[in-house]
Amino acid sequence: MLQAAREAAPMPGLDPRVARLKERLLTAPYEVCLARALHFTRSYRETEGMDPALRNARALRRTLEQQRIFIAPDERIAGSKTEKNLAAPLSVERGDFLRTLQMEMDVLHLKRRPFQISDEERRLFWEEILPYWDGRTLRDHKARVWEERGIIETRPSFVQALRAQIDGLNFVRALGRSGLRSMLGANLRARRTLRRTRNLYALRYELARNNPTPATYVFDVQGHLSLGVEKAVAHGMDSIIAEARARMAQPDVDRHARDFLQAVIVSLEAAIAYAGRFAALAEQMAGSAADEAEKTRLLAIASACRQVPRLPPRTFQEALQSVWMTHVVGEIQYGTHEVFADGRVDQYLYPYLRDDLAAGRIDREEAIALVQEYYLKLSANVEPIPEAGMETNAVLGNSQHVVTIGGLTPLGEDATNALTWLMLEAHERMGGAINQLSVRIHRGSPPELLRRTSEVFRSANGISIYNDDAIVPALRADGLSEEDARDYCVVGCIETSGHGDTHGCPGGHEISLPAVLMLTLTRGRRPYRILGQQRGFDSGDPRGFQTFKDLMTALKRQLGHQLGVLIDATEGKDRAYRDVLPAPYVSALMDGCIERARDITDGGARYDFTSIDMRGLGTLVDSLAALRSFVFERNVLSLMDLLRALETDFRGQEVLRQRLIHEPPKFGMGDARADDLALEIVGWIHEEAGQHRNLRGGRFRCCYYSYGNHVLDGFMLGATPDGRRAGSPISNGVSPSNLIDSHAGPTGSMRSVARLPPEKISSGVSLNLRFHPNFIRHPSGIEAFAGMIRTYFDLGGMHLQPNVVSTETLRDAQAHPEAYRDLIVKVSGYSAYFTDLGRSIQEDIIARAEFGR
Amino acid sequence: MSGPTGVVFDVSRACVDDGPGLRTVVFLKGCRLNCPWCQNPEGQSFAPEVAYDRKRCIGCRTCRQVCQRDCPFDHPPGEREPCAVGHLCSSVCPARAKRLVGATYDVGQLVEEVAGPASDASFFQGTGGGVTFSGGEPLAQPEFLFASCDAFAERGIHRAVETAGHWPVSLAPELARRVDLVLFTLTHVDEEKFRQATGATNRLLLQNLTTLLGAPVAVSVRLLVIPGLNDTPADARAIAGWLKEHPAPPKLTLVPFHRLATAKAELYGRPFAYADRPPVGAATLAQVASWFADAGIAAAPEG
Ligand code: SF4
Repeated sequence: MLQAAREAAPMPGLDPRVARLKERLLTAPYEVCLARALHFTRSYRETEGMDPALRNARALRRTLEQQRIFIAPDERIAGSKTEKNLAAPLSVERGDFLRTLQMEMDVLHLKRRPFQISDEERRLFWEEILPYWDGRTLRDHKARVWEERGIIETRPSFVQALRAQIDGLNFVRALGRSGLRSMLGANLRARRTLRRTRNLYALRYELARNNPTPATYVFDVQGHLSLGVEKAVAHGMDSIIAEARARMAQPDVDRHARDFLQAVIVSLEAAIAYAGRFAALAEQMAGSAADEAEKTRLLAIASACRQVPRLPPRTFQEALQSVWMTHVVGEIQYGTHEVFADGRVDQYLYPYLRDDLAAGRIDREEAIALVQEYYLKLSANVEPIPEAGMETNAVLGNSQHVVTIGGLTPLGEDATNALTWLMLEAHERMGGAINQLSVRIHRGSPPELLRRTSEVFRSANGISIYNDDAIVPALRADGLSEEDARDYCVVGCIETSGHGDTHGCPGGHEISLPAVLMLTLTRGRRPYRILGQQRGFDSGDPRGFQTFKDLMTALKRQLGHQLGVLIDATEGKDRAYRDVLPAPYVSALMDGCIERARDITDGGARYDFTSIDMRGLGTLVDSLAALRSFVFERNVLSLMDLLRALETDFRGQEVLRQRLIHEPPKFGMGDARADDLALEIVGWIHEEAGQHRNLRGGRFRCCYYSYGNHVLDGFMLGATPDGRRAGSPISNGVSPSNLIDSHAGPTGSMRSVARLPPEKISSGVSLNLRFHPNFIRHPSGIEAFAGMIRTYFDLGGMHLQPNVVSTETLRDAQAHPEAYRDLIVKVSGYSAYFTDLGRSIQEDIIARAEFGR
Repeated sequence: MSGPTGVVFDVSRACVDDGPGLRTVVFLKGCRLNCPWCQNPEGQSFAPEVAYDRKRCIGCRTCRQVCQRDCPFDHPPGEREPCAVGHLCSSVCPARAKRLVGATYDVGQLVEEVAGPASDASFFQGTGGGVTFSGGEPLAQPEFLFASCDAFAERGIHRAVETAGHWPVSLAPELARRVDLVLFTLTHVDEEKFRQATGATNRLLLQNLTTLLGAPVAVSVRLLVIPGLNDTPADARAIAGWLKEHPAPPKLTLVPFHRLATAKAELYGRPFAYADRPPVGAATLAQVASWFADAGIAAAPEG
């Protein structure tokens, strides 16, 4: 019946060309394409000893010159990322997933969603690519810096190794059967269990290269930034090249700076030449086109690719072509998990649309179809995530390329224009696309913008809504100028950034707050450390905690230690980036880099930050509230008894567990007793992080989102004092935990979250609330929905990402995935196709409170 | 506690179908009708009672330790004697599987919960919302209802009341003075049909509706469309005929009968009398709307 209901409401008027493109994206097999990896390897092998920026530019150029290109049927915007239709290139030089891929190379085709790879490519991977990079990747450099500084242990001594094995067994036991199954990749139908068990151990050792401690993560990514697409579109790459040349001629440019500027020029020229290849291909294909329409399509592509991104575009189609070509070259330069936001597309593309409409060169329907094609292109990326990570991640659209619309102009006027509405409608009529549409709202936005956005949720999820009135002042406090702050855009999941001028590093520096609490309660012993990690930090004997304040003091000591390790480890990573893996193409487009003649990895961007991402705020606060009430105020039981209950995952103590769930106040229900604790923690972390500067002199900002990793954190964590069982997810983003009673309503969560001061969470938060479609089934419900968000923003809320989907639909989608291929949900920050997600994260989304039944 | 008190069985936030904007709905316990289609079976009796949600029960037997009497939940529905002790079990249940439904409020407490610092009051303004009294029958506790309405009026909060109209006729002008909107649920104007289903007369409710329609208060008349009761052209003609006797006949909002109350009734150990009636779909509503249109009364589904 649910399926019937979905069929009864077909997407209105989806252009057949776009419908075919969408269908192709959703049904295409996943593949691995080794072309980029091979060209990078061969280029890097030839350029040993050269400046790292030049090496990167040369590798990019070689790939853009030699990678096979294609123009797919129905495409009007050209520019392919790999040689294959929907494939993952491997950023071999970065190394993120290289090790795990190495382990899984033989079973890629057995994954839940198989990845195809040819035998020839497999051979190249083992024989040519891997041997060269062994010890040379960014990850290897990072690990070396960490080892030098004692952030992680290198060769463990016999005793250490033995202790680690015991820890390992405990760790495996703590994971429980389901956790273990996920970690081992139960979905792999491979039978070589011995190998897989060995892999688990190898993986655990690898984890130390991401997790300096059991509560912190420092992943290999930088990326995650607002790509200066506007600069390329508005001025053309030729003019940026001229700028770099002029800069090079100035007397203060030393050898290193000259190499960097040279790398900028090489990269941009390579991008222009790449577009030229598409022009040539289109012309050639046009020669043998089957009909006039096809010929026209190809010739339009040819003419666009001759013009852009070298020169400014002449039409809306050329403008989108320029955006996409600039973007896709960025993806190729970065390789994997780049997460490049194209920024305020409705602002910088509006003039082209306006002029085309006025001149009758395009009609609105055609413009919508072009925008939809662009959305689909942004989603067309896949990542062969290790099986263990698949439980918590999306494969399709893994790299989230956000588009921002609406909001204020740099001068403080309302920025809504005809393209804003058109892009919203394009999203709606496509039933969503995985790229996240971020809608900026300020007090002076036309009320219709929020109402219309609310209405779109009837047919499409995937939109996040942002409050300029909270975010602009917060960005001012971070040091952005008034105009730059008003011109902010959204990056990645929910991160706020200057537009094309900020190297914000919002991804990959993360703390699991509930894990920090458990380390506090166990003198650094739980969660179990893994091979290669430092010994736990002892923040004081819990038997000595006389008052709740004692506990809080110890918690802050532990948190301070964890932050210190995180910041130190981050600096190690940043050093590796600066020294071996600059990003000259991205820097070419970034405001400040040419002027300073420095790469983004070396402090070239006008604004520079690092964000620390905190996960599980709700679980931490609920646990503290429970401890305060049960142990310190009401003396229901002693701290030691409670810890024993946690140790056994409440075995035989279900009554206690139920009481811990139901009696103490919880975060996200508008209850000041819990919310005040959240304020204290958020404020303290902000203060503490503010004491530090990153390698490039930038500040540390705080954010609270968790993409899918709250589920992974949960796997690794024993039971917590809020009644959460071992292995189940911790709370996501700043959302309340799944254990709260939905009775307080979405408004309770909004009231709680709106109290968090924006300047202390300036890098962004994700409040993820799920609504039953009934909530907005009537126009009056849509009005109320919009008014509810308006009020939340008036109270000071920064961000909201609603999911409008019922439990029944999600269950039905689990049972009949083929009928729901285009069902999109927000996880925590990012959007994903629901049926593409791992079971664990699906269950987490279903377990979230559902409002408005 | 001071002043009049009332028994409330739920305060539900962020509701969108019970008046304009975002509503906090206060459910008052108790009703003098006994309609078999009642969607809120927990609102029928006046006294607080225990609800038992078996899905939440962890089988710890804590409730059995405090109360060894014969428990109504041990018997199949229909063979249950009401609980002679009451509430002991719910006060000890750690899992909220047994829960006491119905709490006594005074006006101050209710105002605190609906419009105090930890309430949704800020959302009322932003959405044009407010408080809605539902039930049960809110007019079955008139003193508490009226005093609460006055207190909310003082704070400028929009007030709506959902009623079935079965209460003393003297209350109608009082109600009209105190609220901004009356959501009046009608089922049938035919006395015999109504009596057959509910055992009660519908004279009071018809008279009250007439008074309210003539009073200076917004009235939204909702027809609960129930299969076998009022879903034929003849029923539509009869209801439309009665409505047209009024100087300004109201528009009708059609609300479909559904069976969601089945699970709810089970929590209270009662069978849902209309568990076998088919739910009403959009097609039926559209048809009913057209019969009303033919009979000269505008009728449309919610929305
Ligand atoms: S106390 Fe509650 S959870 Fe325990 S047996 Fe009774 S109803 Fe079930």
